[in-house]
Amino acid sequence: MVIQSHSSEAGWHDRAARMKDQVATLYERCQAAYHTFDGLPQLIDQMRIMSVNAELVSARAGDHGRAVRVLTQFVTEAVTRMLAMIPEMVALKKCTYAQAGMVLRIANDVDKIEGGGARILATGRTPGDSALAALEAAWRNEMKGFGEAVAGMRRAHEGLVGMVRTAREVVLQVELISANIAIEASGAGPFEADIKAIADFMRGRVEELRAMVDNAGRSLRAVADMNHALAALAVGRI
Amino acid sequence: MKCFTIWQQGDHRWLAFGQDPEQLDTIIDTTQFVVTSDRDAVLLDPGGIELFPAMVAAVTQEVGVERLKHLFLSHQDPDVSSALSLWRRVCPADLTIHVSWLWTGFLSHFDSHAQFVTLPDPGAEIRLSPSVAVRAVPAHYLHSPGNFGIYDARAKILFSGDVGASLVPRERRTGIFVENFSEHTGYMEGFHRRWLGSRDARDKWVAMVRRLDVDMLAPQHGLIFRGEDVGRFLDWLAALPVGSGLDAYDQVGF
Repeated sequence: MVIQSHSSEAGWHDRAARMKDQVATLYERCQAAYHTFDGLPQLIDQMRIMSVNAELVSARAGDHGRAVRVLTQFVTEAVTRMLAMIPEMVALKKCTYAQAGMVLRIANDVDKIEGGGARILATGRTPGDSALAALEAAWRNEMKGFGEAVAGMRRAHEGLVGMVRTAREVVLQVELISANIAIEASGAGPFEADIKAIADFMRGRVEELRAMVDNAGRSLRAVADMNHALAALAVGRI
Repeated sequence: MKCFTIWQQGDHRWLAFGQDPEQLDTIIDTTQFVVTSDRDAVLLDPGGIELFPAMVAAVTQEVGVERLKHLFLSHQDPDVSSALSLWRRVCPADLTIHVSWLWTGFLSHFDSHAQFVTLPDPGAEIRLSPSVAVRAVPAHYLHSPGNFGIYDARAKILFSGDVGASLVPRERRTGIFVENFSEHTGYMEGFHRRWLGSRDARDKWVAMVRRLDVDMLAPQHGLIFRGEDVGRFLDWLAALPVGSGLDAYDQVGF
């Protein structure tokens, strides 16, 4: 006895096709958001060295460097604040990749389950068939897992948005400090050139940090859109 | 996906599923078997994840999914077991998954929630009903170090896993059985020379199978041997040089 299978064109659930593209895009955008911050540890290190250097120059400048010394303290605090972000970011990254991997696996499983259901329907069996019922239960279970994984990604995304907010605050703070140091430089007599160099270096790092924050913000906005779309797919499972 | 009933006595049946015309060319062709009884059924080497949609549709056309109480995995390869998590989701909650004790930690990479019943090296019986049982028999090192076949003494069928496997071009397949043994050796010689690494294992396996009463020898890839072709295959295998990959050690140039 030979039973020919049929093509999987029959309609049953059809979530997988929509999930696949969106999941791939989501994964890509998450990666982009994290890659934006790849240079952050190096940048923080440069700022840390710069603040140590600024302290030395301001000490050497005596009274001329008193204001710079105070301003440098704020930079040191900003650097400490950013240093604390790094382990948090690593944890968020790990969580995002784990959830994204889960979402990709579920999308693949859903694809196969939907393919099986479509083929069963194509053989003329009715929705009351025990195999279809088993596939339906498996499908619902997968979609539940999908919803949970997307929620996990959303939480990680919110964590990253919080970190970008902190980084943006640091940008504004350090920008203001560098402007004030530049003003102080003009009254620093023989130390004007050294203090001005510190202010310029600080401005350069601020620009780098601002570019990182802006790029990350753009990627994260795109991730938020995808998260909403995926959450809608998961919610629409019933 | 085609279904062939290769043996039947009442509710006790051997079904072979394979030769799916829609299967991607990039995926190695496999044959899946189901043994049914008057109560439970066992799915032997359920196949890879890409095959799942076609398999679940074809198998459940023949056997109610609620009767699939056993999955048997001859070894750990993905063409055998990568759909494990999907089968576990559609089969009954009391599904038993039988596999060599060697592979549970590895197969958990496909399905971390799967619970396995481990087969000891000499094998074990898998009971499907009070009147029907099959037996897992060793095929270690052929090719996997933890490898089993399934022997059904009543049907006189031996599911041999990768032993006896052949890669027959689609256009040359006219059924599920070997029809011309000497021509068929061309489709399996390269595979057996390279994939089987141990002459000792081969010799012990051949000797074991000769002690069994086998009417059909059913591999996981390609066509099934029946009748006198079973003996011809054993003779052919016993004389075949295996472990051709060993030559590479002398060819690396250092």
